Amino acid sequence: MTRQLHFTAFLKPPGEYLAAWRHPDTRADAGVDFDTVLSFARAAEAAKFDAVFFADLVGVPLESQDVLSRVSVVNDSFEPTTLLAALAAATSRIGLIATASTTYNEPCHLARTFASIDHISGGRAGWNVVTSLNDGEALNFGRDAHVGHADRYARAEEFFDVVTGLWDEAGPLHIARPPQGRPVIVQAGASEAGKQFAARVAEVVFSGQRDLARATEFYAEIKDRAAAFGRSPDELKVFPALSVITAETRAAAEAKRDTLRGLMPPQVALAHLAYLLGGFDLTGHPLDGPLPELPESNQSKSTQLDVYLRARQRGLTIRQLATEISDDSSTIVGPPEEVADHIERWFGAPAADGFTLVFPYLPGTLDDFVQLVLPILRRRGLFRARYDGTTLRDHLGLGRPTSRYGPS
Amino acid sequence: MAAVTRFLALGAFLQEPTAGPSGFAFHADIARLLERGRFDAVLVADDPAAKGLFEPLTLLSALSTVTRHIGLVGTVGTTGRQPYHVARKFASLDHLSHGRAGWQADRGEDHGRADEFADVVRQLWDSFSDKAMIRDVATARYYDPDQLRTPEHRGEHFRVRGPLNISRPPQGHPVVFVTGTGPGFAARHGDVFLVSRPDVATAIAIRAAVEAAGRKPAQIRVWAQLFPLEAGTPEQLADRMQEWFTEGAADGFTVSFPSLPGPAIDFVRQVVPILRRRGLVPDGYHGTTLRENLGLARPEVTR
Repeated sequence: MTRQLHFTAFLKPPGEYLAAWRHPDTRADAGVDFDTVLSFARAAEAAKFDAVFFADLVGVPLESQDVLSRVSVVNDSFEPTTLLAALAAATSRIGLIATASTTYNEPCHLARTFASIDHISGGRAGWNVVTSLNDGEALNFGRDAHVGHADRYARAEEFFDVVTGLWDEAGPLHIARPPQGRPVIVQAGASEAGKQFAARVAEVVFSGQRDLARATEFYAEIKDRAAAFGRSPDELKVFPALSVITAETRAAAEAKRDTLRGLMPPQVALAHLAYLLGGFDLTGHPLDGPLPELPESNQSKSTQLDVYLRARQRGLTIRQLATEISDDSSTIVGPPEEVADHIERWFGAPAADGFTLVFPYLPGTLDDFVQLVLPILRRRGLFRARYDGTTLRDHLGLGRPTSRYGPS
Repeated sequence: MAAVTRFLALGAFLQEPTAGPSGFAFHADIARLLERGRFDAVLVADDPAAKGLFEPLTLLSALSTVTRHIGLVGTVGTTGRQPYHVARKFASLDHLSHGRAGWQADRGEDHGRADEFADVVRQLWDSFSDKAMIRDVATARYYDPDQLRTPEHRGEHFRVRGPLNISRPPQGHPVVFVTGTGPGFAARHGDVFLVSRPDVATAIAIRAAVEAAGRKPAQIRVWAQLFPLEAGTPEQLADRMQEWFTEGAADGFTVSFPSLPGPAIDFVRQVVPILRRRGLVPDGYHGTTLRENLGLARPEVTR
């Protein structure tokens, strides 16, 4: 069989777009309405996606009340491991990935939680390993500011080894080895430390490059780095983020995008830009002037660079950048053939083994992708029409890891 | 005004099967069986010595999708944990289950830390008042900033700024289960007190400690452990339960089944119908939340 695409549905009900909760076709309270979230997971399962995937923050970002009170997801969402367990009982085949921080958790609790989800789901769990991003989180755990970038990754490396040791050993944790041996490991770091960590441990890399040349370069680089750790390139899948707004015609797709942009409160657009720039305060800089030089960020370095280059290369003003960035800069807006072509081009480069699909608003952009784009990819023989296996590892074509303590 | 009827509450701890395969389906069957038997709650202990497959919060979250009425109570110790995670996971379970969550708070050795821990958890649950989430599309306000109660807690053991990143739990606060009878942690935080044996003096002592802690003794419940095999016939067991309940030795019972599922099936088939006939256990669930079914008031946001 030819190489097959993979898709995970990165769900942030009611949508990735910060003003999605205001959209007439969403439920504003979708973040805490289980039946709604379940309907999204079931739609993804019916479409034979590999997994649904949930983000996590252990705190509300430090931001003004005028901005925070206008957004939904960061204020009012299910905690992802409890949500995943509930979805496990109400779905049968789709993989279930949740983000959890190595900075603010303890390895024994986290190992037990994900092993438990793997048992409840019959081997469908995945853990997206993050080192956390913001000071709003630190302040909920007795710290004054976020832990430095290097310290965070040093802890993440050790944390990971303790967690996998607990899964492998089964003894001290008092739970049976997870059905998959280990839940699937997902990682998104793109800084130097993040890439090394991903190359050593990740089975799925959730990456954020916006253009094909850089994504192709990243793809080759991360697989080379994995090889340096003695891993086969097939043991590490690269899934760039992909956000799609599609409709039968370009005009209809653009109309959907414009409806969405029209919902964005200006306070939120500017604050979001500042956040992506590493918490840089843009007040005092003229909105119709260029983006100023930025100090190096302690937050997500790769995101900051990406946004910065985008503004500089295209000569965007702060206002133009804020508007564009508001619907995620990687959003492809166009007819389904064009979206399918983009996917096939990235897949063939190769710059991707699959995609982490990001949905500006739900369920609209999920349904559109499933109904309009997937049939084209299936006609081209690129995406499955049914599940062949039962576990997330089966879907991804990943082997069951052997225990470092021998067969079990 | 209708007389307030006092009902006898029933709870049971889930446990691994003594024979045959374990797995989620096994626990789901037990939870549904107990729900048919009008149990108020299933409880999941977190005993590190027990070789269970499941962690309590994830098991209870999964059970929330296969049950509709029964309370879902999990033990989570305060030792070695952070209040933000605990508050958030129970708030999430309470939303998933539409108000059926209970936290059995194991206080560990350090009572001062546990006391502060539970205080912080409550403040976090109250981060957003009940009126906060206005979700007003027209004015682009998801919540009303005047209804936000950021804890900004700075205590001896914890510094937690907050707010919690989820709206207030449907029950206000999930029901807090405690063990222990004296003053201190249990008296300050407990809604349901789990005691080893039904005993009038114990129940009186608990209510006195609760009152001394500045809370209403009518707003707590005492559940005693019950060993169904010790009483003889179903009729005799029901007699004993009625006697303990009537004399005030217990408001409810956690039934300790020697194994599952057999004895639980027998209890639901043979004992519960007698309790129902006598009007001790209601025929259906009259409330939608665990608090309502136990007759406990929903806590107000006080700050």
